Amino acid sequence: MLSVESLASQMAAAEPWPENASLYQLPTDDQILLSDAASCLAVQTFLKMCNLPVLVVFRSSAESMSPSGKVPFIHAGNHVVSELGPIVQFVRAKGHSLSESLNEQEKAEMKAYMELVNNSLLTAELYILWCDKNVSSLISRPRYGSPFPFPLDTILARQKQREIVRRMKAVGWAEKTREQVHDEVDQSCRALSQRLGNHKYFFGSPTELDALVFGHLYSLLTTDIPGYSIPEIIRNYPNLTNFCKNIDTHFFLQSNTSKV
Amino acid sequence: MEIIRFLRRMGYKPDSHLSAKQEADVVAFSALIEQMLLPALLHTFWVDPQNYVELIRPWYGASMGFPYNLFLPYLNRRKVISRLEFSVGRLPFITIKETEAQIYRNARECLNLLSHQLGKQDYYFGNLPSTLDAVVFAHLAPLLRAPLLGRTLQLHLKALPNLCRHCSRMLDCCFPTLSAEGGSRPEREQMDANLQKLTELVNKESNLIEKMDGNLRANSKSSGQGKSSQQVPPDISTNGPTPTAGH
Amino acid sequence: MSCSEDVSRGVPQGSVLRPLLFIIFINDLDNGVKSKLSKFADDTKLGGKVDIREGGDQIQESINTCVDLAKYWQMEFNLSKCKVLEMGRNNENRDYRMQGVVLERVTQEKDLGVVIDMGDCSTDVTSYLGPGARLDGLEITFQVTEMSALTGSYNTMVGNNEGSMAIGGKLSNMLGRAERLVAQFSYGTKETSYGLSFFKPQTGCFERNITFGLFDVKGQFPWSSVREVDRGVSFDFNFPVWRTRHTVRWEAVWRELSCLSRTASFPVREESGHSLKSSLAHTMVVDCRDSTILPSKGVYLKVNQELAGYTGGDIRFLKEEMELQLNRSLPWGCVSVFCSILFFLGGPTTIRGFNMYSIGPYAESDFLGGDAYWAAGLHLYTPLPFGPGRPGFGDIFRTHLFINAGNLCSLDYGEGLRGHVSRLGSCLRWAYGAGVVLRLGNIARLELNYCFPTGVQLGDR
Repeated sequence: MLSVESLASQMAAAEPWPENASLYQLPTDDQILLSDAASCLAVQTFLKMCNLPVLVVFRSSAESMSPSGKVPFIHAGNHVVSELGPIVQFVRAKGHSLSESLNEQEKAEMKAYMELVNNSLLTAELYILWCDKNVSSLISRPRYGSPFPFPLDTILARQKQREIVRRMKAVGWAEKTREQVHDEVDQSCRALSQRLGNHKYFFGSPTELDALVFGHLYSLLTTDIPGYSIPEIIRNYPNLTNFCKNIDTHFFLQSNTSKV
Repeated sequence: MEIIRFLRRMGYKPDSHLSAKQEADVVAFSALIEQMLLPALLHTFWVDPQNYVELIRPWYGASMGFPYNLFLPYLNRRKVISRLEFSVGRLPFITIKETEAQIYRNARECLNLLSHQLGKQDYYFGNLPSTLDAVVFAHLAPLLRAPLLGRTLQLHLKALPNLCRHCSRMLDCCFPTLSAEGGSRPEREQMDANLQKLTELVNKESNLIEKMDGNLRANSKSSGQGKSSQQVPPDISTNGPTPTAGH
Repeated sequence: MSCSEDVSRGVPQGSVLRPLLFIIFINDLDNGVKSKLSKFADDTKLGGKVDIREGGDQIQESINTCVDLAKYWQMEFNLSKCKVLEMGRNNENRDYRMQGVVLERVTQEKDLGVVIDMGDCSTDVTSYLGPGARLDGLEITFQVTEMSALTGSYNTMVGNNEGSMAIGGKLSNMLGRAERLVAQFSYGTKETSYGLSFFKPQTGCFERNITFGLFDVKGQFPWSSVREVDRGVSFDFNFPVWRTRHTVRWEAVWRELSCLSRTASFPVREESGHSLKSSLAHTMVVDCRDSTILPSKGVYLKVNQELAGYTGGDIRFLKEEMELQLNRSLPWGCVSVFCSILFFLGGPTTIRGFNMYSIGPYAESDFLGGDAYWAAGLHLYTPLPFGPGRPGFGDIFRTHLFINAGNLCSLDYGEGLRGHVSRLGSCLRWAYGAGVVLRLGNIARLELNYCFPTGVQLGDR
């Protein structure tokens, strides 16, 4: 894969950012779920930070269309790239990078914190959506299966749930209780808050870490999940809520409500 | 991690000397290790056929007793394989070779990052060990010390001297008896292990002698000057006696 | 003419002369015989009405005539194998003699594989007669060997793009009325598939039957970089109408499309996903050919229409398909014209000289298929020119000259019928060539052709 990736990045470097680049994600009104919404928002924020114009396209089958099976993915010229990590590399190959000015140590820290968000926040989101019986039957399964006719909606939703539960079992999250999940989220938020301190961004200027953290925190703050009090945990750290507000107003001037 | 949390609640705080930012770094780097290094470690120990068959299965089997040694290692292996599949993803055109290559690439990058972060210091944050040091040591020590047959990752780690020294330092600090014996020893390398033990005994002896020498000299010079040599643990290597920090 | 010789020995066993000589000798056996006489090889039957006394006399006279003729030709009837079978009632129980011996009377005799059994005329047969039976009717009993209840099959197949091994099991006559349950499992180099079907004919009319099936079929189509998984149920009802066979089918299919490689083109990627099709289809087939693999005469017509979307599911379309094949024998060979309409064109079964399914709209390197298409061909088959190994082995070979043509395109639905037709008529692709065709039993044909593709359009392969 290394050679394919390096070849792809060489080809990517040859062309500038196309005008009609598009970002594909699931429809927000009725289908998208918390974890995907967070990832999509993170990528959107990152591209806005890089000043790269992108058209957001909503497709019900975006998950199947994606080369890695995960949303969001971008279609730029002849390339299709999915997930934040590869997209950051792709964008870097085209000459835009937010983290060039960082030294080695800061880059290592940035990587560590991004892994923290993926490890804790994303996994917690997936757990809440699919391992909690109440939430999965009330919210996740109906939303996931909404674009399909009966009986396909139940079949696909249950298939997805089985797959995610197996993944949770593999990483040891399946047996966690609600309190433990709350604890995990709390610990990650505390770490992020301590690292952020009083600054506007994690490393002086906006980086992909800011985009990722914003994506997840904003989605968690603005989504109401029955039985879980995640927004309250985040609000315990006012510098994080300020951080979200700041990025929201700075990069998403068009959004008129920020429910933070 | 549950145990760590429990201990923290009980009041044991090895990180009291860290700033808030550093505490956050501990959490972040632990996540980094778990996400990037741990899959490769699991693969090296449990999935790599040479290592599993020659080393791990006999080790675990010996301590488990009949009949558990027949199937428990195998079940563990299956669990590890499914975890690795989910960590990198499963798609029709990603082959197992590519998955393994990706896992090892991540691990090498992680080791490089850890090495960078440590730099020339003794511990990650200042002069006292912290939770992060413990986590790093826990992941690296088996990799460094186990007599593996499939060795790519081990060789990469050995090429990062500051991490190796850190490992040894932690070993001495927390497991002094083990460090004297030179770590775990499977039957296969009995002779080598014996030689190692002998060399280390000789080292220890020479170190002690030098320490005593140093102490005598220190006492003879003036009192209260300099730390006792116990606070800076001596390096143990098999290459011969190393100079201590005493003067 | 040469002079005559005495023959003291018979013809050797198994000689080809034997039957020929025999036929010559008994050719005029029926000279002078007034009763009905029928011969089959060495089996001779003599029959007549004996409701009047003279009937029996006539039969006896015929027997005597036959015996005399046989004696003339120095042949003898095997008396132990000669029997008398009386049919009907009111037989006078008369003895018939042949060469002085009274012939045995039987009530049951096997004649050319059919056992004719007169039963016991003295008992009262009315008790076991079925409804509608007549006293002077015949009761015909077929004695058949039933197929074994459970049969298994194992095939290896080399198909359009992959090789596979198929294992099947069949339960015949499950519930006693020719029902059939067939299960099939196919394991291929690329994919595996399963199928289960239940077939039930209408009692009394085998051509009218229903089939209920479940299937899980996976396939790979590298020319479009697509992998397709179809799972579904189907329900077929077949019935004949005059000389045509009709099928009405309802099926519900869950189709999952995914890309086969990372470099699949974007339009193909956009089609990925799940869809549910619920459709009703009707097919009419007229097949008067003498062989399905290499026909030399007859007509084949198949018309199919399928309407999807109005019984559930999220796919809506109307599809029309037609295939017509005309075969005619000529003195020195036979010619076959075929015309068919398929969604994907190209390849050895449609237009030779073009790669499999590689004509028509494409994006990057994947072929997308079209909305409409037509294909026609003119084939001339002759026996091998220098006739080696004929008859027998050489018969399965034919030389083959052909012209194939066709076109495939996407339709712009705003254009109307005239627009569609003109689109189909433009950018014609065609190919001509010659080759050899080999017929493998009744299952397959192997062709080796040299083609000259012409009218190739941009993007075809």
